[in-house]
Amino acid sequence: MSDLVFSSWGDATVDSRKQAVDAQAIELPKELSNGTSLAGIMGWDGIAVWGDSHPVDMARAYARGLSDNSCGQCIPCRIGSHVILEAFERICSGAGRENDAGEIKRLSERLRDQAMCDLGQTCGKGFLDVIENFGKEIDGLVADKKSVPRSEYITATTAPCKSACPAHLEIPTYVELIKKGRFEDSLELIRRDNCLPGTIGRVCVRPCEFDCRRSNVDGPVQIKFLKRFVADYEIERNRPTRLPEKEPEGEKIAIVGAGPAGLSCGYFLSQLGYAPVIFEALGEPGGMAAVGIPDYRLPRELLRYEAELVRKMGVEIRYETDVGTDVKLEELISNDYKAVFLGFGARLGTSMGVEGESDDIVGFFKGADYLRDVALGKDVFTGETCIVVGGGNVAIDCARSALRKGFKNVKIVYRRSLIEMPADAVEVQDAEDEKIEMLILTNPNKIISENGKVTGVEVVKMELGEPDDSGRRRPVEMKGSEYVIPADACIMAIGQAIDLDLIEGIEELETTRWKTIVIQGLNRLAMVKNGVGVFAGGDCETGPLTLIGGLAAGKEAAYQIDRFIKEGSSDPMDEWVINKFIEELKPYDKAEDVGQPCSTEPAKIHHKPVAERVTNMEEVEVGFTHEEAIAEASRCLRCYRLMVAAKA
Amino acid sequence: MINLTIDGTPVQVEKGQTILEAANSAGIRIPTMCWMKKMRPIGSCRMCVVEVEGLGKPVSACDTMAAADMKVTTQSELLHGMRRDALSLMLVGHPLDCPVCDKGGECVLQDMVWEFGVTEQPTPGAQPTRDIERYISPMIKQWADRCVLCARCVTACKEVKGIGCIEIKGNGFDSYIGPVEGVDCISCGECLSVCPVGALTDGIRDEKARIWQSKRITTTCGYCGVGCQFDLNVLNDKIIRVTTTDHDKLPNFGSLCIKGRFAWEFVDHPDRLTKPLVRRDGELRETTWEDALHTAAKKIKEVRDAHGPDSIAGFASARCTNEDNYVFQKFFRAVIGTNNVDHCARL
Repeated sequence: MSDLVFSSWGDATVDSRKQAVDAQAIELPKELSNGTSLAGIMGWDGIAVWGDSHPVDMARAYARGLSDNSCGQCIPCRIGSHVILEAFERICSGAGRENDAGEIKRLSERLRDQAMCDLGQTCGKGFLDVIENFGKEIDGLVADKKSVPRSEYITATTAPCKSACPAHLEIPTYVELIKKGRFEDSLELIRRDNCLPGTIGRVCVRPCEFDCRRSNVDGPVQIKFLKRFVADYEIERNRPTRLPEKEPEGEKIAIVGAGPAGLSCGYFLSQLGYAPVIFEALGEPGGMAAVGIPDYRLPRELLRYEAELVRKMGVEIRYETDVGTDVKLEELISNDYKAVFLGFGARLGTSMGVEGESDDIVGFFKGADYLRDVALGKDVFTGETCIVVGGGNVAIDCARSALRKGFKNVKIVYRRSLIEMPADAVEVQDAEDEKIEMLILTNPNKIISENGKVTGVEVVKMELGEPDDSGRRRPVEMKGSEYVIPADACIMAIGQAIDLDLIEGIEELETTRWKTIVIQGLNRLAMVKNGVGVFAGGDCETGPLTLIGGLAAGKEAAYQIDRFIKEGSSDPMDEWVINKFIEELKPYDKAEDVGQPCSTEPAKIHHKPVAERVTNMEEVEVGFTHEEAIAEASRCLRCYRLMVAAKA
Repeated sequence: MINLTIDGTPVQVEKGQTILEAANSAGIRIPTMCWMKKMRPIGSCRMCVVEVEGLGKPVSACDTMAAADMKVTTQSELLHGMRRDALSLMLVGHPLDCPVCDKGGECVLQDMVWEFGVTEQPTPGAQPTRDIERYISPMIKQWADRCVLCARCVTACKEVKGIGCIEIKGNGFDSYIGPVEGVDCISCGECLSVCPVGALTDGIRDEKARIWQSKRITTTCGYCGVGCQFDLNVLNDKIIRVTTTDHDKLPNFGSLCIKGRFAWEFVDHPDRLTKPLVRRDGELRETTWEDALHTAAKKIKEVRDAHGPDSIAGFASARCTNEDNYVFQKFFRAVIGTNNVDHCARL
């Protein structure tokens, strides 16, 4: 069947036996990013074949994958998959029985309709597609006792949440462990891919929850808070961490920056048998997570605790050692380090360049600088009214910090409307609860100062015009609507920039016009000099983005460094390649009817009362109780999916 | 409160209750195998599937919350087929040793197979690769090939006893219930009492009886003051084991500790005292109660008269009844005249 082009993927069916079509008619990626070309795939959305692979053999491989990955909990999947596999094995080896196809069909219907989780349910659909479209072929194979050629397959499991997570945490499994009350086992599993569970469980932007299938029913599973719950459980119950402890040993690897990316890279490198040395400019760990996220959202003690666990695993952290000034990157590359990882983030604040801006004026700050000063316990300026410019999370952080540092009135000035605000809606709500005023469709024109002090901000009203490149409606100034807001401080929270002084003198490192470091791709390699591989990840490579992105990059870099040293290869790990491929297949469908009744609602995290929280930097959110965590975890639909891809 | 209809019957339940709980409250039976009232839903057996109007496919009643205006159907041709097929799959690789299985006659799988009229074992193919018959504790025998992996035992061990020493290990067809590394079994037998089939049996006595041969006498455990209820299984006036089958009964809901469930062999132990003994000429000799009591009274009187009442102390058992212990201390205080009285629970 090598000239067959067939696809039941998604809603559309393509079938070359009915209508002349070529492989182009199937809108699926046909090769992996490492150049491996494929002959077909079978997965949660059906089966597609365009090359030299037999669909019935692919179904056999799919049944093998299901049988190997079935968790063993429910009857239709645990045993059904085995019976289906045996039937496909018989058919493919020319020993098929007459009733095999019928048996497969019946059990696949049970799988689809009766299995406990989406792994079995989606696999059922795949088998039924094969029986429906290749029933005649199967009958022929059985009648003629003919076998089919075996292809080589790549098998992988995924879930919408797992695929959406940059670090690909094993979300459905760790949530299920919480449901079963196995909190420490859950945390152990989280730590396999992530070294800062308590941190990320507080401040993650949670791409997983936006791709949670439960949101198609009655709201996403609160994955972030569940992760926080198990991390807190360990600390509150004073439980052993189940992490190995050792003195640094093995070959030395230099890491620039003890932020999430750097800590993550060190964490995995130490487990791979290396002795990572992290160079950190600040006097404490966490990077922007420590000095860019206020303590009321992410308590520093927690970050220090989690970083200390990483250190105990055999990671040396040299604080107050700024690469670029105290030690040159050049020295790290040419010294006795086998590889270097750059994870120095985006630590500079930026401004808009409006009239009257100057760092010398009392009461004028750049957002990142203001948050750092607050975090480092510096005596920050405070007064009556503070204007924060921007609509991102940093703006909200600045506004809420300013309130806690003594400003009576804090106003956020944002040029678009609330809907376009990039800040997390939850945090916008928290800010509004704290009586922070949102001046939307307003843009600053001029910072007004007298005698070197801010006295106000001239703003202009905006209206939304045609959509711009980002798809959001472009704000347009309304002429003549200018007015002055009296204020004694103005914080420009409009972004962060990468400090390229750190890499000064390394000509080989390529940077973009946004001052980010260029890497080759999934292998995270930025350059090789004197045989030393320099890898990069996190904000310094992507531009200011997410904490989980930094954690993921650090992990990926660690494995690539290991491969680079041991195999002398800079090929990306298969796992990243497959993850990327799965991402292209889009495991989450926002429009899917999940078939569950809308009968639960997402658990809500508790907040300290506003009056109590706005006077200090103590943590605002209070974690779940055991009962709440278990109930919330029980809402998970465990949307595991299986994919097999036939190699061409 | 939420109003829904199940098989056309209007049912009213609290928010947060499952479809199964709603059905139970209305007296509508949905078949289940893994579900137990005293534990959170497990959802492994898939027997409790029901149809809900408007949903594309059936849902499991045990772990799906009831919602307002839901229209639930618990019996249909589709559901019957699904339940029958689930049972049929449970029989794949299941040994048909019912005649020699301890659980024969009170096995949930046996009852269900009979109820749904499953008369054939599907092609077994390869047997699951599990160890057969081994002891997971000296008290508990595990017959892994009889296991249907309902996970009641795993759930009970974690949720009811807070131990979590067993879990589902492996994947797919070869999954089995195995020990969790680093967590010790306390031999409480909770797993044994919730197992719906004969995969976990009592390893105490060789004497066995079919369910219809032995008598079950409900009694109160004497080991401590909780008052746990259990059934003595009696054959020919001899205890052959202790069982708990009623998991809804106060105060222990079918749970027992190692002593209550397994430490009953003293009852007919040959070393047990059944007649009073009196030491004469350095040797313990059988005697009558009258003689024994008379001897004891005489000796106590002699000691008291010679050395004073505080030279005597009374020590009673915590396993005696409250009334016995009351009378005992009264006797020491009022009759002998000493406050030297205590019992073993303080040790």
